[in-house]
Amino acid sequence: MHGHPLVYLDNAATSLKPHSVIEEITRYYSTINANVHRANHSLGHASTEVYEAARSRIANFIGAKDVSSIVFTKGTTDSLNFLADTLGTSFLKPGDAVLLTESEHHSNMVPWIELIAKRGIQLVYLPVDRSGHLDMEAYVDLLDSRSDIRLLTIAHSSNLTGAVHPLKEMITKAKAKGISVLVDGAQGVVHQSVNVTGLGCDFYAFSGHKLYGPMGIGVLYIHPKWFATLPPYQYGGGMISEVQFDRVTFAEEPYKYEAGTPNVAGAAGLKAAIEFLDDEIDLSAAWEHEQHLYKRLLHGVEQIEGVSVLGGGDRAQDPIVSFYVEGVHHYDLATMLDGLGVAVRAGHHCVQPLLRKWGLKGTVRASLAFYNTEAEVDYFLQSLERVLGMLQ
Amino acid sequence: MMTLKDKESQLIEDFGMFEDWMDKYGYIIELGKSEAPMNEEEKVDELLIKGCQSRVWLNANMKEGKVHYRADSDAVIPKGIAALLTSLFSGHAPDEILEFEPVFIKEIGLAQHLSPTRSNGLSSMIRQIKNYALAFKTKV
Repeated sequence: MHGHPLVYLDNAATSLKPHSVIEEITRYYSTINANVHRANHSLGHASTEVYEAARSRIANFIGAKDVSSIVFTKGTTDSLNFLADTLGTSFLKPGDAVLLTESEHHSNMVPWIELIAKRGIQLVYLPVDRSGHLDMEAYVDLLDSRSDIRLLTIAHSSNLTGAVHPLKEMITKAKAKGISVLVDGAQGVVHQSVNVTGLGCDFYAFSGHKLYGPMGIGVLYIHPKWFATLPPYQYGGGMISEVQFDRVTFAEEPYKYEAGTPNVAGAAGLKAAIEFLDDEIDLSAAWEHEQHLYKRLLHGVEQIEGVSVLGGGDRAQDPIVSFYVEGVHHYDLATMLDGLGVAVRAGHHCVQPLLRKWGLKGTVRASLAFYNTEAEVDYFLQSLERVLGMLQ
Repeated sequence: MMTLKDKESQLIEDFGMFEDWMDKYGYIIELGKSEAPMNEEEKVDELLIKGCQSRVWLNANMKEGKVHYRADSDAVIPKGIAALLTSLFSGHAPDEILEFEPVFIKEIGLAQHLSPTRSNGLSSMIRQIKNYALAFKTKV
């Protein structure tokens, strides 16, 4: 990049892909591409097999007991819109409250904001501190003080600060109050171990492209107890059983929730990504390496004069460092770092309300993956110092 | 007075002196620093350029048939680029400004280096420069 080796530190936006993922997508389109489920030819069978094998593999990866609880979507945003829409009509009633945190990504905030007008619900926000973490006492007090909360929708971990929320504890307390729980796992599935059965959540959503898979494919885990009452999100081919001119019966789950031709190549690519994580590398060791790099990055950034970090501290963190410098615009920082080959993200990171509350227009965010190296972290730190020297 | 075309050629030549993009950024930052900032009262929302990731204000006035521009930003690189644009386009008649098709953005590599956001801030600035010229032309 611009005469310098690329140092890619924007993994929270999207990850780079293993060769096996790219090869699998090419293999799919070169050898077995065909439409799925109702073909009577071998190509269709092969394609369906790969699609359903991907579903199975994903169920296994996130600890879902029932393969039919895994629904393919276009991504996390699609999954969250799916739930806001279907829970909005079938589950939430006017006056009901939905609980979120202040640090939710716009994709897990805007669909619910829309329901305020469309469905007469209220939104209640759990505050986070400057490290992005929640106050568990305040959470318990809130649950005790209200009886109108029907749903908690929460990120597994924050894309802004990297703070990992204590989901198991929160879900247990929510369920004790009869509150359903939806987890936005876009970041969490990448850096934390996920077991939806152990967590006890009702829904868990994530994207393929952050998990070393391709773009355009996502997963929505739906606990089977919702099958009877949760309506489809989209209608048409692939999700029906019988169609008359004036009425329809739907297919069984999960197909009832998958209208239209799916992104089979995407599912195949995601399966290859999970196989890579499970079979090719030692995932625990990879996560340890991420934490090691994260601490190196965090300590390095904290040393630099004038830099303030959102996050850090000693609670559980994804390897993400968001920071700002008084008197220096985040746009200038990111643009000049790009000039040195460093890819980071600058701006509001889809968390506008919280940044505004904190009086910040934006931050620079460096986010790591297991394939980053110590040399890259050190180069980033040197580049940041050099750039700050030119800007201050 | 040099024509817009001549000034643009000079600009491309000036940038050609720098090999490294860090040096070019340094030059852009200096251009911005040497430009007088706008008064706080002048930095109103109506003067903001849309499509920039930072805030960029652009104002213009007409004197003796020539348009004069001034700009400011809360980020230093956009301020430098705005300064580059205001010095290029200031002091010319509306018609000359309207007919001028800039090539320097590509020639000095600005297009590759500044991220096209949802709408491109740099082309928005040039469009606004031309809009001012058009407004002054029709008033005269």
